[in-house]
Amino acid sequence: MRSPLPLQSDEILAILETCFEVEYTFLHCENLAMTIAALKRPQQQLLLDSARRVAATQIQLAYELTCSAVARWEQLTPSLLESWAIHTLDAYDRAGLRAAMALVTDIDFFYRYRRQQQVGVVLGDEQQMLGHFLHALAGRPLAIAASELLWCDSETLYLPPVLMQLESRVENRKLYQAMAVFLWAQTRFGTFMPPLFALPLPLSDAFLALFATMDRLRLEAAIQRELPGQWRALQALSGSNEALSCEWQQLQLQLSEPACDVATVITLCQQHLGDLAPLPAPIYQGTLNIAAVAKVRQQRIERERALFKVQLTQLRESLPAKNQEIASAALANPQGEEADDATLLPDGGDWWVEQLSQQLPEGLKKRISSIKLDFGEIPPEYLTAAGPGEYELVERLEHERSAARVWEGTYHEEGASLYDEWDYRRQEYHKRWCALRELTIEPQYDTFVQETRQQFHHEIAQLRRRFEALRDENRLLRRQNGGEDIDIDALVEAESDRLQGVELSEALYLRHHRHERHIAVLFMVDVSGSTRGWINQLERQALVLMCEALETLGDRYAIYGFSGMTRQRCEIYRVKSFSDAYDATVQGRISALQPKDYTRMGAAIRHLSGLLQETEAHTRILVTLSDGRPDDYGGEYQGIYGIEDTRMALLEARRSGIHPYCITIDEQAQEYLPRLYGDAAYTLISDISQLPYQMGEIYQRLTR
Amino acid sequence: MHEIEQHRITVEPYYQPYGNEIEIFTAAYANGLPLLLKGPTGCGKSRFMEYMAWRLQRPLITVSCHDDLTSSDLVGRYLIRGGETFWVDGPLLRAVKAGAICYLDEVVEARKDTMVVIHPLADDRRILPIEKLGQIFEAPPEFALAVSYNPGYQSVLKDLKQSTRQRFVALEFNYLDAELECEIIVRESGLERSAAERLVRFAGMTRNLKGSGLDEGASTRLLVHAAKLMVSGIDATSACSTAIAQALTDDGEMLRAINELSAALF
Repeated sequence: MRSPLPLQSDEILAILETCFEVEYTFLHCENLAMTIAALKRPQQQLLLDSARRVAATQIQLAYELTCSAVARWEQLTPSLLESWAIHTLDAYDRAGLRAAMALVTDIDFFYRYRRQQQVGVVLGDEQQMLGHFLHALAGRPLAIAASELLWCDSETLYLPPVLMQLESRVENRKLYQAMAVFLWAQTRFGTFMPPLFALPLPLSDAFLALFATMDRLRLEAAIQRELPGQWRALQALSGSNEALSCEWQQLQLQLSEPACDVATVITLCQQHLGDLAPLPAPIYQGTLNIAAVAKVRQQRIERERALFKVQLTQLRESLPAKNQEIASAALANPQGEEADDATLLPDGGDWWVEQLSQQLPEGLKKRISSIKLDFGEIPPEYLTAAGPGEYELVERLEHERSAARVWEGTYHEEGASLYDEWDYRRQEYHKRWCALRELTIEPQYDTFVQETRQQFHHEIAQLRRRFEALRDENRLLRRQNGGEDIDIDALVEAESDRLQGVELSEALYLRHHRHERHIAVLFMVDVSGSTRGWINQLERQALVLMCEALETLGDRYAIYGFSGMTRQRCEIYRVKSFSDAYDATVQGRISALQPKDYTRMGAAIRHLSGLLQETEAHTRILVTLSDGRPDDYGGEYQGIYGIEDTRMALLEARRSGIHPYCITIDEQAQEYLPRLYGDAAYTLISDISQLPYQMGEIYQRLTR
Repeated sequence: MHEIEQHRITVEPYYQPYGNEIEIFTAAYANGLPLLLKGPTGCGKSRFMEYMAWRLQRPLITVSCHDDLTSSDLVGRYLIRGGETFWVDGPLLRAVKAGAICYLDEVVEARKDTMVVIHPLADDRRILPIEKLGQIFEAPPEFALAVSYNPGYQSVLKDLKQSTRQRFVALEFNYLDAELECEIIVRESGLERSAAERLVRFAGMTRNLKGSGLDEGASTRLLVHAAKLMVSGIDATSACSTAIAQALTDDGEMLRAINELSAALF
């Protein structure tokens, strides 16, 4: 088939002028149009599409990108152009116009980027795998962050954001892994132990370089012992085939001894400083930033000491008086090593040693192993009771890190789940775009639920009766081909048939039919600012009615509120999880469910679909209770953008087998809900006061 | 040969005890107490039952429970042949009649109401009333009842009723310590010791990921599978990938991480 004819330059000019809004921006498109006119039709289409998509976000950026792309047309492939455009838009989202422009206009960047597309590996793509890998190696999750410099601060492994040094993607992936293992080895095999920090500062560059080489040899030997396969991979990457000098060979032998620790490395370093040149570093060897490590370590030590002492004091206070001394003795030795000490303890002592070594709270066990990684043991002063200073520090830490406090102090993403968001203009997701936190509502113990029950007692009774009818009773099915019992009636009939010479039926059994509803339903309640007043009151009343009725039916249900402001603070309020019982606390939470801010629905749907997905059920339903279209601070989310993102989130939910349904009171819902939920999956309640009555009816219809 | 004889275990199954579970089982058996074996999958519960059946010289009747299992499937039912009805014993009744050990594997998979049928057998009455026959079968002293379940799967839907669980003497099984686990791999597969040690370390690493992307770490059974493949000449990384990693997860990133772990270890 022949491809369509190329567009003429005047046609292209018209498209570009609309796209770049030339009337207001006065951008010159004539030359651009002429150059594009010389290309084939599919190529023209590609350029114009990418111009349109980027222009939807930023016109100037789109213009520059199109100019740049046309200038380098020979080196571009369709996928490279597409990823270049997306990358530029991401940079615009994160760092603004200037940073994005730099990516478009910088020629070096373009060539780097092209190479990255061909052989490069991005940390973001490897992070999850490396996270699992390191977690399995270390027995605890290790943080990974992007940094141009490869190093480790003893808590976080800093890896380059992109690797493209090696000639293929596979090799660059292996390099990421090698780097991560090397940095992990520094923490695992004790590079950052006290002897390193006891050295007089500042350390000379010569000393640091020699130390880095020697410690690398020590770590490589340890890796060779523990992970021989990984060691071979390191060898393949180290790239140096030159034989070591005699002196280095001898040192390598010494450093490979299992007993060799960082103190030995320091001693050897001091002995050879000046007479031995350090070896060139292989590409996976990180740099050492001892001052930064010392700072992080100091902060951690203070934090952990305070937390440890407070936890220890709490544990001790929970013990019977006579065992408190024994407990601290036992804690000093949580692994039950040097068990001889147990015999020195008074009566019952060894019992506590055993109990405590096995049944220490998980948090305390982890803290002990973390402290041991810093000191090799629990320092004796840690075993004294916590003082006021430590309590204050712990309180401050808890306060700072609490998800609910995110807006008070510096913004942080701790404790937040990051969700992608769909941008219809780019036809792409913004990666890890919305920071969502799950918060628990403080119950408000008042008479709200009581009053609702009284006010609606008639409706509740009616709903219960209706829901009872939904419960499919166990039935006995007659005339089955197989079953637990014989259907005597069928058998008698069959026998008479046989005597008359008629063909025998095989359906002679009784089978018990047991019906299980096996439904899990999650109510996602809009608590945005617009529900303030009686809408909120009716929503809560409807929830009470639903809970009362659902308790009869026995379906599994959960209730979450959602609201938030901007993508950095999406919030989900847990009223009742699937495992919570409908008790005074849950009732108190329903009562305390108050209007908050905006409705960024996409992230909430993605989070709650995840929760539903984890629940065991044949049928999973996500019921949204809402009073209007998706909306967020700044207005962007209010338009098509928000609708399309919400639609995408609902599509994702549907793909994972969830049935979404929406109950709304927004009179304009007809405009957008059919696109979001489909024609049959929403109900518009025109009279809000009917909500509590109608909700039960809708639920009944939905799950019949 | 009598049908029940098929269930007799004649060759000693290999079982590596980790504590006093054999004594406890023996004592419970002597006292007619039913046993509940708890523990993650592939840690030796079923093997332990085989071993005890061999040791006590009793036939072992195993029923793998599932959610369509009815009480008739356990005790028996009437069937029709040539216009005549006849009764067929279920596995539980057969075990009671023959004084065998009846082992209900993964008991939580069965519906809660099905399990009620074992109640009179699991207390001091030790009887099995069968309504359809109008008979009560008294279990002989040799009969024993044991059930197993994996608390790891526990959810609201899959939990034992208190009235069921409170009839049993419970034995908890877990992954063995490295030394014993290594011993088992060597014994079961004939793999050389150093490779077995690495397999055990590999298992330990996957168990670190339990709850952080994996539902369960690698079980001893999977390690034995991998070891057998290795003894048959499959290289260690492929053996770990096919016998362990693929059995643990379908998640792409997790698979890659686990495969890289085995590549790093071997």
